[in-house]
Amino acid sequence: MVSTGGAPRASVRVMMAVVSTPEDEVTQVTLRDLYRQHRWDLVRLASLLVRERADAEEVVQDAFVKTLVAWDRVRDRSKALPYLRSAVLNGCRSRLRHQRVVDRTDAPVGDAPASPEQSAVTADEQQRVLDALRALPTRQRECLVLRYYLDMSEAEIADTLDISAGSVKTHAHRGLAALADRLEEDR
Amino acid sequence: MSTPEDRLRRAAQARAAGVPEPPDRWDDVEQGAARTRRSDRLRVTGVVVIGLAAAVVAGVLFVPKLMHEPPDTIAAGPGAATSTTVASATTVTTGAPAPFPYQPLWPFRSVAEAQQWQSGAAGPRDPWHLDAAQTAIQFSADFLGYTDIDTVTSKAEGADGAHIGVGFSTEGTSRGTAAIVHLARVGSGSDAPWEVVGTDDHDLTLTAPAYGASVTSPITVAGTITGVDESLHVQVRQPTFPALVGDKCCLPAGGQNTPWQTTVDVKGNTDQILTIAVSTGGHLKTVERFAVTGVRVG
Repeated sequence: MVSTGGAPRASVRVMMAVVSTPEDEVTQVTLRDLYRQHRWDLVRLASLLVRERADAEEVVQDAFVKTLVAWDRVRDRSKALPYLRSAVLNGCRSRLRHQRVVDRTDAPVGDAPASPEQSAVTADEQQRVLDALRALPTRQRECLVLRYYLDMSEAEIADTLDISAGSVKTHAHRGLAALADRLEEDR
Repeated sequence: MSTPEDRLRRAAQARAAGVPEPPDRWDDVEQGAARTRRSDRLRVTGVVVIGLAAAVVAGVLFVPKLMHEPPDTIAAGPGAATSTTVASATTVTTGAPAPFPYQPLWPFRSVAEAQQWQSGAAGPRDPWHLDAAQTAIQFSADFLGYTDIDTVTSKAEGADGAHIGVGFSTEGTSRGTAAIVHLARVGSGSDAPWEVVGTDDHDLTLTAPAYGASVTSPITVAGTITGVDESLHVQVRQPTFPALVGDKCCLPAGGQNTPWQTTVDVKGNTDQILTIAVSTGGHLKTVERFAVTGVRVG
């Protein structure tokens, strides 16, 4: 039997899309602290999903603006960071959708010059891998970035993306297979 | 030889490491939040003022007329729906003050909730609620989680609402339609919000459970499919977080109007209205076609 009961409003759904992770043990935290401590990490994350670094920075700014507007309604502030991460992923998705990024072979994100110790071969390899990543469907790309960049578990990814663990497994498996195929084709 | 996982890990970390520290723009965050709060307040105030003015005008113009008409003439709904998932003869009230001839699926859980939004009583009003195409895209990408759906491929509007083709870009300028989303305005007036009420299904249909039916877990879900090497993914969602309350993947399917059927366990739901969605894809995009139906718990 399917149970029923009181439900929060749909409009606050996103505010509740928070995930508890061991990293968030601080209970008394201000959003300004989070901004100073984590904006760089969040921009790095966004940079792997959108094409332009400026877009990544704007997505993170927007996520903080929205969170600040709703800050009084956030009951468990220890979960603000996972929420911000979800907001950044949503923002990246939205930015890609609205800007209709069709050409996936444009200049890469984070156009910082390679460090002196990086050889041209290494840079090419990174570019190939990131181009292949960027050509994947959105959900597969998100699952792979969260899994292999942030080292999140399937359960954590499922909570962050609000999908089932089974779907995470499917997206990650298909994404990795497609990535391997593309890298093989490029050889 | 490195595995693809290792190569991806190294490339992502190297790329991220190359991102310089962004400037501290906390002041911009505070100013942006202040602007948002201000515009939200203005919008709510404006809606209340306009609503009061409209109520006064409506009272002057229409109350004398309505007093001479039987009450049920107000309940006339839109014409017959073309959607295979919409039972045109069914009137679903869901506790709403006025009858609505469809099952409200998303973004509102009921007519009353939509009316609250229209009056401004529910808080700030996102403008996309007034755009059927944008609502259809948000429904597909954000609510159903079909993130590859980002393109409107067709638009049609009639007496029964809007029918919006949603899909994705393929090579060049080609576009693929994943579904025709059927929406209806809840309430009247140009500021009445759009509500998703179903999909118009062709190659992939979802015929069981029937639109608007009462269901208990496990739910038997069935329909027909035309296609080759398909893999069906059935999900059950509610408007309130957590959205996903049932999930079944991956049912091999294919053929010409070939019946398919599976059962899905539903647990953890808190809403009485559920959306059942079936999708297939994997050739070009993760989701290339989908169909939905709306059911009630009970």
